[in-house]
Amino acid sequence: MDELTLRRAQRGDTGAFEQLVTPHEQLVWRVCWHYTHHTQDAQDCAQEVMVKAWRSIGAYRQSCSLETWLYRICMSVCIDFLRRKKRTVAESADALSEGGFDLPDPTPQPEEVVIDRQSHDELRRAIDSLPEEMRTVVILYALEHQRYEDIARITGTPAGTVKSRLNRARKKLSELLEQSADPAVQHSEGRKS
Amino acid sequence: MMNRQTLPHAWDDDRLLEQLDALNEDVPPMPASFHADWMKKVEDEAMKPQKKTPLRTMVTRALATAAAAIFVIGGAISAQENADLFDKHTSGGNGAAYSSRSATYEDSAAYGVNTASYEEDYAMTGDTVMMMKAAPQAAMGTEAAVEKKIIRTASRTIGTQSYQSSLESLRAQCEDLGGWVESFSESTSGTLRVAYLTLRIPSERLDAFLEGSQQLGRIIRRTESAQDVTNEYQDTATRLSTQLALMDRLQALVTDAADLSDLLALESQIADTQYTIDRLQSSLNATDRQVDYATVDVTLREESPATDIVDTEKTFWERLTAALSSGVEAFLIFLENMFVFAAAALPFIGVVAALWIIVRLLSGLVKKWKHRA
Repeated sequence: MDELTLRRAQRGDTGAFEQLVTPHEQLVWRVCWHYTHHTQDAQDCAQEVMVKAWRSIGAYRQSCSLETWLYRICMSVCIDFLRRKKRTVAESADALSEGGFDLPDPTPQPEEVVIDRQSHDELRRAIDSLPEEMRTVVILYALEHQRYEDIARITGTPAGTVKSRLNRARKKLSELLEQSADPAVQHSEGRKS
Repeated sequence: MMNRQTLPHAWDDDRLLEQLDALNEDVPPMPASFHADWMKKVEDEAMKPQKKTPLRTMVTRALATAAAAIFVIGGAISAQENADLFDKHTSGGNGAAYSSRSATYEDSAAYGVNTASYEEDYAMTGDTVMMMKAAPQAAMGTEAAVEKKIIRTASRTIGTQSYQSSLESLRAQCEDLGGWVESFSESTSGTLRVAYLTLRIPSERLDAFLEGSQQLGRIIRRTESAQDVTNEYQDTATRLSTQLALMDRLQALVTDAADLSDLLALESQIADTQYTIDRLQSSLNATDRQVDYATVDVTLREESPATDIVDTEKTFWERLTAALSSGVEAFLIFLENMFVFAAAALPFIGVVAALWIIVRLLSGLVKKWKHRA
């Protein structure tokens, strides 16, 4: 990160701020989408992240990397957004469709693709049903491929706590996925019979 | 229809992670307008007027500013007080006429008091001197005439606006009375000159010289003393007489000396005696010179034109301009003292800054250590 650009941004130069943050806007978009699963909501969140970053760039003292700093802002904004929206874990296919998801192609698809899409939905719902702190570490670790130490810096918790939350999150996810899978299996077995 | 075997429920960590990672494939591309949209919001935010600084920050800043101001102003005042210790005179409206930066002039008001008291002292001293001068005459009636040996010294500090003419008059007076200038030096204090002279004046004409010096300018300080060295002089004279008598006897013995060894012993004795005689004579001569010619130390100080001693009634405009002028001068002196103090405080500020940097670095290291732990 260019020190001079940072100083200029801190003094109110929007061009310098754009130069600093643009390389990380993909990151911001991804994280916001992982939280919201909704294009418009993700866009709103991401814009709010950028504005919040602009407001607090003056307080950025380079105690961590810019990426870590932006992650922190993303987490904070997305969690606040979800609390405000009180969005439920289960979303209807219509809601997903409105959010810009392509509905499954009505023409026959290879089974593998259909299964993947549905398993992804299951996974996403399972993640969304996790408690906030577990969801955060799962997104950062599994989806954003951050290290324990970086997650600790982003969340402001010790690395040991991060590992502990991840372990519990894995167990929780497995339980949730088993629960969601069992009814489907029972139903299919019932139909067979 | 879901195949149970493909359901993501029998996971090991790697399998779960792979599945989770695959969710990234579902992330839609960033909207084309996303960048432009957030930049516009940032620019709109930048155009907004600044938010009010939180109260806590304002209070902290105010306290820090006040502390800095007290530190600097207190230091400036302290520096001014230290400077005043070296200034014994302040310019005023009572006719002092000396620059506040000259360090050796006395305040004229105080001097007036000193002058009055000195006149009394001078009268006493003058009487004492007169008594001393009369002593040899009085003593003549009671004992054998013993010439009194009085060494007189005096000093004068004179202020004059006509420095050059006063200096020339002083030299002329000295020479006219049969004296001479033993030493002379001159220096400049600011734009004003100061002359230091040591004059030798015939003792019997000292009073005339001192009276004449009062015409040269304003007498700032004067002292006189008379030291009676008659007894010491008589003792030395007696010893000299003894040595002279001894010399005569030795020389008589030399003419009668038959033995070479006796002759040599006598010659040695004569040499020692002669040395003693010379030394005693020299001492007497020096005393005579001091007695015959009084030593007068004169300091002649050039003065700038004096202001009116008596306060005259000033108009409002005169008072206003005078107040403004003195205010500006005081402010400039304050600024000067502030910079002097800041220069003196710089090492301390440097140490404090270094300590602050060390503390910040250490706290950063501690935070990092805690995170890693």
